[in-house]
Amino acid sequence: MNNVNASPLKKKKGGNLNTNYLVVIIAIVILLIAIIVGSLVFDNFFKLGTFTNLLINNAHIGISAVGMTLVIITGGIDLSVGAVVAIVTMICAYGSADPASTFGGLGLDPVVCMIISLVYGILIGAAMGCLIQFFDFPPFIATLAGMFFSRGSCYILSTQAITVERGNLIDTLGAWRLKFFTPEGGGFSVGTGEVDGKVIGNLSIPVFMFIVVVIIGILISQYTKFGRTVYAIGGNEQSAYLMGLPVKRTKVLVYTLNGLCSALAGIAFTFFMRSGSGLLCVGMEMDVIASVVIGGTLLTGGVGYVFGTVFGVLTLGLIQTFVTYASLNSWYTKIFVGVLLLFFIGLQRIIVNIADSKKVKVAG
Amino acid sequence: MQNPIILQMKGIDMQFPGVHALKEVDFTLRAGEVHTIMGENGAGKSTLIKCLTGVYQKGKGTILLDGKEINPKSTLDAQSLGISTVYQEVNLCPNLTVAENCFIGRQPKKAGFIDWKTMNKRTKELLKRFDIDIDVTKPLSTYTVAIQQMVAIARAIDIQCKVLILDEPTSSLDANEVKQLFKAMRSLKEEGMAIIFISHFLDQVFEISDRFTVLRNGELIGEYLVDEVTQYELVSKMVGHEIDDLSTLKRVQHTEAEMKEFLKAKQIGVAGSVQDIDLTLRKGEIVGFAGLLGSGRTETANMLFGVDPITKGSISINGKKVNLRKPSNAIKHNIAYCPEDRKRDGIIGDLSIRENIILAIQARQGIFKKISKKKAEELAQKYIKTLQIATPDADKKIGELSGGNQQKVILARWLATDPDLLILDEPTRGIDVGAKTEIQKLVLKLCEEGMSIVFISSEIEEVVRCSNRIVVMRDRKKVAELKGDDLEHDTILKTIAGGAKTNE
Repeated sequence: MNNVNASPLKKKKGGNLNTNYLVVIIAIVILLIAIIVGSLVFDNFFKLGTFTNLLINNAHIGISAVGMTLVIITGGIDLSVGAVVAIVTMICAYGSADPASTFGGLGLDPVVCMIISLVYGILIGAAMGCLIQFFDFPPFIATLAGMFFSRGSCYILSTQAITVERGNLIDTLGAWRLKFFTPEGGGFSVGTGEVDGKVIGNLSIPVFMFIVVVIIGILISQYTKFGRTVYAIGGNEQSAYLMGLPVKRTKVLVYTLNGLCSALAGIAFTFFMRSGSGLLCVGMEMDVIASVVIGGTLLTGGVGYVFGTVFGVLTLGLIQTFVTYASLNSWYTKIFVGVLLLFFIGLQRIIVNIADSKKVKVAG
Repeated sequence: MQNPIILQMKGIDMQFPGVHALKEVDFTLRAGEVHTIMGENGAGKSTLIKCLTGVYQKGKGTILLDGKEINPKSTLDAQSLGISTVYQEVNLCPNLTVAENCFIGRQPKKAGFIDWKTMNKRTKELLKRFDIDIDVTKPLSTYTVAIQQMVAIARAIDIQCKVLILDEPTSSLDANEVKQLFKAMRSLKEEGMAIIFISHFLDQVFEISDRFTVLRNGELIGEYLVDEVTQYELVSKMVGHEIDDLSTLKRVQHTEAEMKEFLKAKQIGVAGSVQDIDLTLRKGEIVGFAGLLGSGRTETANMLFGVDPITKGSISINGKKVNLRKPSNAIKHNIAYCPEDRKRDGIIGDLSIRENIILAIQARQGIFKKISKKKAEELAQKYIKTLQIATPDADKKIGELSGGNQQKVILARWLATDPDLLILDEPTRGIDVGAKTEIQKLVLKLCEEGMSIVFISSEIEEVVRCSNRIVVMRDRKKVAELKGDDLEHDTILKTIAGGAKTNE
């Protein structure tokens, strides 16, 4: 029976590329294709400024998407992010506004306001995590409650849209730019403040926050026990528990971490807008979820990369840029995002099916 | 020569509401032995194991590990004491890599971050002990169940493990994979590991075990060395009375001319899967499918039931050509199919026995003609009686029944449709010896009544015992059709292995 012995424990043939990476690679390819198409179709598109603006306009989405990636990898969802961003803009803008101004305001130090914002994010995240873990709330419902709570609380602070005054620290930080410019006489240079030459692109503080959050996100998700437990939970929660992993703690922590990310995104967005309002970022959670999915994270959990999410965010932002360049109504963005999302989810389904069918053939 | 005792359970007593699950059971495990706990379903095997692994808190009695009393409160607790369990269903995460599954929770670190390189290297070394050389950086789901099982064992033994419990580890493995597993078990044994083994497969139990402990109805029947008992004696001890020796089951032998042809398949195949299968199924005849896991047995059944529509060849029923595009087409032609994985494809755990039984008839009638409650109850009672399903009433959820009884309910579901052709894929997997015989008897009886039956099983003896004709499959092809005197264990084994004669 020697000839039989040869086969069963042999590893599977074909499919050498890890299918988990495949979706991310596709996201990257799509982004590249989009850039190439954009460059060919629109004059004046392929230049540094386009890309730095892309980062500036989407940094807050990106920061939030890093936390959301982890939540989705556990198999959960968080709908509260847009509302948390909104209340953070209010805490920062209203909190730091002069009580004597037309808006009223609390006259707090801007730094204190930012700290309060972060604490709020952590607390609401932890609260939702506890509801989900200990009271068995579906993530959809628990975070929906968090969303309404946060959105409603905005209006308790103030029903007005509050503009951050000039000279306020938030205004200063929001206006700060790292500028890339061509000095007179040609060449390339980097500087801040007033620069001598033609500015060809610039980066804001939120962009740097985004970069830092992404790096931390990658480290956490790939190189810490917590991060790997997040993946294990998404793969099979029961197994994760039986393997002795701290499932409960991790699930609460992942929502807490996302709350923190939302608060950071809120601070970034306050820098970007230099104003606060309860009306801001309605539906932003959907953009965030869309970028995470386009970046290759499966909504069923267990598969995804923070690295991929970056490309999801950029793809989503690029669509917006296209719509602007084509001078279309901005609502077209939503249509394109919808189509793209459909395409990606379809694609993921196909890849998962192919992977499954391969397995059946070998495992019998 | 006796090895030192590692684990001792003394006077373990366990009561559940209404059930005395364990009555003063003793169990002794020595280093370097494979000790099998035998018993029918409900005998108390799993309860005993669960007391040991901390899933249940024992009522009375003491557990001594290395002479010290222990009281595991949870699986984690038991693991830290050195008692690891590998279950029938692989409890690992399919999306993580092989290496990660081995090390998650205790990953090697460098500068506070997970050191993937060391982890991959150590996993490779770990698996080498089992003669497995695979790419450990690929997701676990890339590999077969057998390899996943080995990974689970590798994980278990790497956690400072003294006692390894293997709960039905072989039920989803084919013969060669089992061999590989046994090899691994033997090398662990030589290193002095104490292994508790639980399995329904008698041959396997006899091949690997050094010692048996037999339980019946929560009572300890005895402890035996492997040389002291025969298979037959052991089964009698488990069942508690002389069992019908399975070999006495008689087949009705009609000649082929006597039997009416029901289904004829010509050169059927699915692109990328099974190819060129010729098959004739007659009424009143049992056709067995033998072959290794993955040889195409299940795939062929799937074609006959329209799960995988054929892309080549043709199927005719009662002489008329038919087009089986989906299961509902097959059901219309009076074909019934009990799938292999009853948990996944068969039972609906939250529905009652009655609801599970009427499912198939209801499906055939269409959703608008509801089967009356009275009719349903009648049917349920009829089959609970004829198939001897052990349940107080038909309202019990099927998920709460034992494996053998679940299997009977699924059989009942299809019998209720009064099929002409019944396809049974591994109908006796994971159920105990007593229930096995009953199901085999039932199959023979149905056949006698004129039903055409396809019987698929990994246990060659079982196929031989039941079938009039055996189709042997290898590498997704039909390699032989055996009948009459060729229906012998050895002949089939040789044919599967590709050695001896083929009727081609």
